[in-house]
Amino acid sequence: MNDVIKDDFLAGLIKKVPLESPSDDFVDKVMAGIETIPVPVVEKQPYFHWMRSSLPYLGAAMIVVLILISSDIPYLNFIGGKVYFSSFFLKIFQPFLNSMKTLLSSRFITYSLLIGVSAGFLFIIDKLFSRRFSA
Amino acid sequence: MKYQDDNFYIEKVLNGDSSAYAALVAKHKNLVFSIALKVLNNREDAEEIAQDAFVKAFHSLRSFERKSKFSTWLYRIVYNAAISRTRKRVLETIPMDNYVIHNYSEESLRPGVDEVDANEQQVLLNKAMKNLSDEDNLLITLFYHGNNSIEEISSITGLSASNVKVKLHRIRKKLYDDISMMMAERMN
Repeated sequence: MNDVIKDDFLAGLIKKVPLESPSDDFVDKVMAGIETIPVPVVEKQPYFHWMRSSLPYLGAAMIVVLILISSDIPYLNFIGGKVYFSSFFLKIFQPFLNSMKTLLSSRFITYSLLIGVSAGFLFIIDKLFSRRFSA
Repeated sequence: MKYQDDNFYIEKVLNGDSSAYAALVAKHKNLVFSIALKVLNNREDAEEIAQDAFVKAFHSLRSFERKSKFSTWLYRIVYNAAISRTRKRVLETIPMDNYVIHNYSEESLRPGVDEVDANEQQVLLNKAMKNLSDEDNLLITLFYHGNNSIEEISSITGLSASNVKVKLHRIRKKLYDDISMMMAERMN
């Protein structure tokens, strides 16, 4: 059946039969129906893009850690390094943490803050992802 | 009019020169329109579908990966659009097992056809082509006018390559048979 491809005689005959043509203004009609394709603008990536994009995560994580450290939830006593934090790190932030401790002594405030921070964290993630994938 | 390679115009369009698309439309309009017409059998519908296909191709041009020829991609768009319009599968698959390929000799037919002049050949061929179904005419259009390969026609129509081959073989035989028959009638 390879001779189908080699059939120059029939091909020559058939090609002499003109194709059907659309109306004379066909091209104009098509061109009227199209809009210019915008040339894509190459977005310049910030040099420390990865660092900039990770800042919200780091900030949120820091807040959560501070809240957890300064709270009196019992299981934190078993976290390794708590002594180090208490003796060195916490001394620096003692005034701030004291005020936090006072504030967070109320469970209502602690849980509200945790929920608020979590919600904020999720909101930031949502914003970042939707911006990244809608481009 | 002498046209450049399709990629020349595609690059221009993608670089913001939409007017370059007019050349692509002008270059392919007859074949695109013919495909739509073969499927739909109505000039107004065919023109509308052909226009829509060109507009759709334009807006999808950025996603055209150039793995196939632009024309193949375009013909597939118009073919699918026309098929969707008719809401029926025009080309039915012929199982190879059920198909009987007749033995015939092209050489026995060709001398007779060669004897008549070109105009007469054209008249005979036109008559023979009118005896073909729209589906067969579509395959002829794609194969002979569009210079599409068996694989490209398979890609456009969704038929298997072997099926396209069988159909083209059958069409070719039918054309020769009809032309020979018409010539015999003229002789008598």
